[in-house]
Amino acid sequence: MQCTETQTLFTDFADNTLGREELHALTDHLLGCPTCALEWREFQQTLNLVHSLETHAPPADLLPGIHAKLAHKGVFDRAWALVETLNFSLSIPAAAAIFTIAMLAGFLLKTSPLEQPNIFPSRSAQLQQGEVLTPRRLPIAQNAMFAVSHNGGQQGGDLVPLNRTALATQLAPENDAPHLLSPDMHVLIEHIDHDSQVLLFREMLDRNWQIHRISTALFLIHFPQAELENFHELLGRHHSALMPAAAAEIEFGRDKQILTAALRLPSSPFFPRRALSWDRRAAPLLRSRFFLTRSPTHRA
Amino acid sequence: MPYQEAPELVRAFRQGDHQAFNRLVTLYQRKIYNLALGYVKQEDEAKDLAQDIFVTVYRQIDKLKEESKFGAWLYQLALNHCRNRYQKLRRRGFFSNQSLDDPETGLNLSSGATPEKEYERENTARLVREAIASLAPAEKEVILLRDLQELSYEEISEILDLPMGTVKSKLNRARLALKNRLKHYL
Repeated sequence: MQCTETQTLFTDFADNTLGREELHALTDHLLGCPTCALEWREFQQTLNLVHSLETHAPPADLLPGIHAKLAHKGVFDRAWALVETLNFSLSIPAAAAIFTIAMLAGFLLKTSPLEQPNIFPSRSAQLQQGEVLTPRRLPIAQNAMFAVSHNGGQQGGDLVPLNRTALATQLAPENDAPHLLSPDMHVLIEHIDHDSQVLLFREMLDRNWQIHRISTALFLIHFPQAELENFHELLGRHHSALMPAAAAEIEFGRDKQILTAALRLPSSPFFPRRALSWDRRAAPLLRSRFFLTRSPTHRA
Repeated sequence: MPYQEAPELVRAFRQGDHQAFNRLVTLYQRKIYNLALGYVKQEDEAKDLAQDIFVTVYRQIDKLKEESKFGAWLYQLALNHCRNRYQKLRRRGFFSNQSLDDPETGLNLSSGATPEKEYERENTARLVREAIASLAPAEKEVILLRDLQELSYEEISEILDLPMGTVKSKLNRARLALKNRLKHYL
């Protein structure tokens, strides 16, 4: 037996689990090899030291501490315990269905015709004269134009009108407080191709009408009341809806010099931007945003 | 053997007998506490670790498949806790603050022992524990289970999920490594 081999048998030797042949070979080697004999003695001494170690008595408050920890569950533990209690399990299609329903509910809530809370009450009251504010949400009820498009241009009785913002025509002249600029009319163009849209905006710009881009599909058009008939003529080339119905009459807004129309186009994230970018004169308009301000020029 | 009643206690605990859980803790607390102490070397930390282990037992008892295997399951769970706590404490430098010259406990004079002999005995025990603690995790684990917890090779094999021959060879290497660490003291 080689010296390197002896040490691999020490544990079996100590446990007395060596076979007869291995036992004889090991003991013969240890008797003739002082180095391995010393290693074996040290091995035995080490085992004796380890086995002589006394175990420590556990602290008396170990069990009460366990109960205290069990009583003091963290938020995560409670949530996890609830999940485990419910034996909650979801398949991927079920989870997808719940997610879809949640998103649909959020969309319906957002586009609900019911009155929504005023989101700028305190801020608008603090505005200084002439201060420009870019609201996060458009002050135009987006469902309004969809409503009239399904109702032959007439506002349905079950729909709440734009009572959150007053029409510019209804503002009291003496009211100097900043007010939310609201369009006098809403126009929805359901179908329009790229070339027709470019042509529409170019004709408006040629007439020196002001175009404010609110979003990729929503624009504010400012034009003289005297040109309302031309506005109708431009719209007449497309399949469009108009609200209120009174705006179809050329007498509409006679008390004002400038009318404001909110123009909604088919949703296309790139189409309107490309259309306007194509026209150099329209480029600055891309930077304009809907604003909250006093607008004396819009009053008669 | 007191540990033979463990499966019955587990069964009772699963059926809602909370006293059975208390008896399980009482039955195993000495072993688990000393196992924890072998890892973290500090009494308060070992107590906290042992409590966490039993809290996990309380919450996860339903995951135990066979009540007769409670001992092995408990040790597996305890070792996982100990390994995680050891790594966490080591990252925080917890062990670098502990020195071989800092006695962890004061002298506990037994009847008839002189202070000098008692100090020598305590000092020797502390040195051996330090030497065990300084072993590689795998070596330390098998020494703790076999030489301090006095588990059989079969039990260790089940806990570590290793063949019995592997357990024996690992134990032999660990003991040799420990011998080399204590060489100057022997």
